[in-house]
This record gives sequence, C-alpha cells and structure tokens, in this order.
Amino acid sequence: MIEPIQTIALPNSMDALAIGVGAISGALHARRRHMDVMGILVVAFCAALGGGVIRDILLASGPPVFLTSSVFLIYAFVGATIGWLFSRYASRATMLMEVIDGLFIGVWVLVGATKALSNGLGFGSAILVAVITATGGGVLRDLFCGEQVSLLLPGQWLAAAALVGALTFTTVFWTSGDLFLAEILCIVVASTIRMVSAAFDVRTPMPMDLSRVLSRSKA
Amino acid sequence: MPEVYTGVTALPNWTLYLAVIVGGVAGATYAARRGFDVIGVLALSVTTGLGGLLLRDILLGRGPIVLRDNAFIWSAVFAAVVGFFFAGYIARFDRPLLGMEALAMGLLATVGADSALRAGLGALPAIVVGTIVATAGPLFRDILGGDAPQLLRPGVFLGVIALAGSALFVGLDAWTHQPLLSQIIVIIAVFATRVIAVLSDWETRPADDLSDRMWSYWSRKSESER
Repeated sequence: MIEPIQTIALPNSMDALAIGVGAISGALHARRRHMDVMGILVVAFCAALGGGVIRDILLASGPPVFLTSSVFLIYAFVGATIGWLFSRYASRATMLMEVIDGLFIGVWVLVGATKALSNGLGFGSAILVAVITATGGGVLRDLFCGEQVSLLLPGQWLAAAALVGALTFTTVFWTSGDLFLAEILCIVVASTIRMVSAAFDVRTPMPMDLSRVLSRSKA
Repeated sequence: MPEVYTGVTALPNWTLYLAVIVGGVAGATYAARRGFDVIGVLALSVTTGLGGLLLRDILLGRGPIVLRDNAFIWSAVFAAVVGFFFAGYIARFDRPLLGMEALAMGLLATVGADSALRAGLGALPAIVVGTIVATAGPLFRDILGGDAPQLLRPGVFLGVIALAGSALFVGLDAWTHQPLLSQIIVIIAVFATRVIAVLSDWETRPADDLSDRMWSYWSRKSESER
C-alpha cells in the first residue's frame, strides 16, 4: 500500500473556467429542449457539478465540495445565466467550449483519481471513481432531460477517453511512483484522445459478435 | 458517529411523516395511472415520498434519517397502499391533494435549508439544499417513470416557488433568529403562492434570449450615431 497522497487543488481561475463552461453547455442543452428558467438552472448545475457530487457521495467524505465552498455554486450560476440570457452568442462559441471541455476531461479524471487514492481506495476503485467524476455530469444532464444517456450510445470518445486517461494515471503512478509524471501524462493522454476523436470523428468500437465468425469458420 | 438530526426545528415529527405520505400518494397514483404493477407503485411511492429527505442526508454526508426512523418507511408504504387501491378516488380529489402537496413542499424546503444551516453550511448552499429537498421527489418520480421531468418543463410553477421559499427561509432565519417562526411564515407563503398560481393559471415560459434584443439595441445605437 502506498502512503496517502495529497489531493491536488486546482487554481481558482481553472475551476471557474471548467465549471463555467460546463454550466454554459448544460444551459444550452436545456434551452434546445425548450425548458423554463428552473430547468435551465437545474440542468446547468447538474452538468457542471454533477460528477463531483457523485464522487463525493461515493467517497462518503462529508458534504460535497460544492456545498462547503460557495464559489463553485457562484461559478455554475454565472455560467447558467450566460447560457440562459445570451444563448445565441454562447452557441456561436460551441467550438471553443468543446476545446476547453476536452482540455479539462483529463483534469477531472486526475482530481477524481487522486481524491479516491487519498481516501484509501485501491487502484481499481480509483479508476472507476475517476471516470465517474469526469462523466457523471453528462449522465445526470441526460437523465434530467428525460433522454437516453448519450454516454452509452455509440459516438465519439468521451467516457472512453476518460477511461484511458485513468488507466494511464494509475499505471504510471503504480510503476514509477511519480505522482507529477502520472498527472501530466493523464491530462495529455485523455485530452489528446478527446481532441483527436472530435477533430477526425473517430468513433468508439462497437461490440463484435464473435460467435457468428466462429460458427462460419467451423462450417 | 454524529447523532441523527431530523431537521425539524420545533414542528413535531408527524408533520414530516405527513409530508412523506402526501408525496408518496402522489407518486403511487402517478404509477397507477401509468399502468405500473405492485412493485412499480411501491417503488415510486417510496422514491417520491422519501427521495428528498434521503438526498438531503446523503448530501450532508450522514446516515439517512429515513432508514433510522422506521416511521418514514411505514408512511411511504401506507401511501403506496392508498394509491394502489384508491387511485380513482384520489384523482377526483386533485384540488385538495394539490394543496397538501404545496404544504409539504414548503415544509420540506424549510427543513432542508434549516438542516444545511445547522450542518455549518453557508447561506447559498443552504438555499440549494432546500430547493433540492423540496423538489427531488417529483423529479425522481418522473425520471423513473421515463418522462421528461415536469419540474424542468415550462408550465407548472413549482421549482421557482421552492427556490424562492428556501431563499425566504434562509433570509428570515438570519434576520429574526427564530427558526420556527420563519418556518411557519415560509410554509404559509409557499402555500399561498402555489394556490394563487394554480387558481390564476400562472405559467412559466420558455427562457428568453437577450442576445437578439441587445444586438438590435446596439445596431440602432450605432446607426443613430452615424
């Protein structure tokens, strides 16, 4: 067992940027479904803060971060308001928001993994918690809109990028024991996969039915 | 292990049980109308009735009171039985049920905000927790039933009232330092607003977009300057 590691704390400006962008994209999603003001607020908050809430509930380490430090709520509220009142302008910046989103997916994986490890969980559980932290917001958003969860549908690498990032982090940290190196590699790998997938429309692999292939080769 | 805090400042516990029953009956009749079976009615009654209080304790990071105090579970089960056998009667008395739901919503919002304040959280998180506790039950019901949540769609004036009620409670509590008095005032205010909203057909609209208006304002301004 390794010694407990420090949970990394992001600088405030990065927190604000990541949460604000998450809230704006959540608010735009709600607007496209013609929701009212409350709907936009709820969906934006879920998209921005949902992953962290699920993580903190799973780790059972007291009230979730967004309740103990109000700044997160304010960031999400500002983002939701921008998405609500200025959706026309905000939706023109979709490209920019996706890039920011892609850059931050590795960061969320990292925060989830380190927090799980510092709570004394093993590597396998840390991977699970990391992926949930990075993708939980989107799942909550889809559930609250009453849609199929887009995470489970075939498409671009989103949860898969988070999974690969989490695997990278734990593998590097396990083998080398160098936390800093693991953090850097995790962010680089996850963001690169996400960006490349978005830029060249790389799809996630679909299930292959090997039984058909096997029975044909036998015949 | 911290002691279990029910969140009731001075109102007796049976008011919370009653709120659970009202929420549970609403969930059970919804399930009966959708053609769910026994388990569906039971599950929706339990989630709708207990969802808010359960989520409150999870969010505040402690053992859920609804699992410690058996009366909560029995209230929800009672509601399920009522909804299972008498869905038709209940649908006929929708106006009284609406009033009961409004009372329950005010109570849950104040209980949520109050317990968040007592757990040492700030004013803004307390408002959020109050809103979540008051609205989580119907939200869970709609998600489990496979609907887009009524709370989020334009039409029914619900979430805004819960939000305003929680904010009013936090403000009154900080101002007067009398939780019970502020709780009663907020419950009455929430009830009155909800009833007036239903009677006079107030509805929420899809959200406005200010970008166009700002754009036209700016373009007109620049034209007049030219």
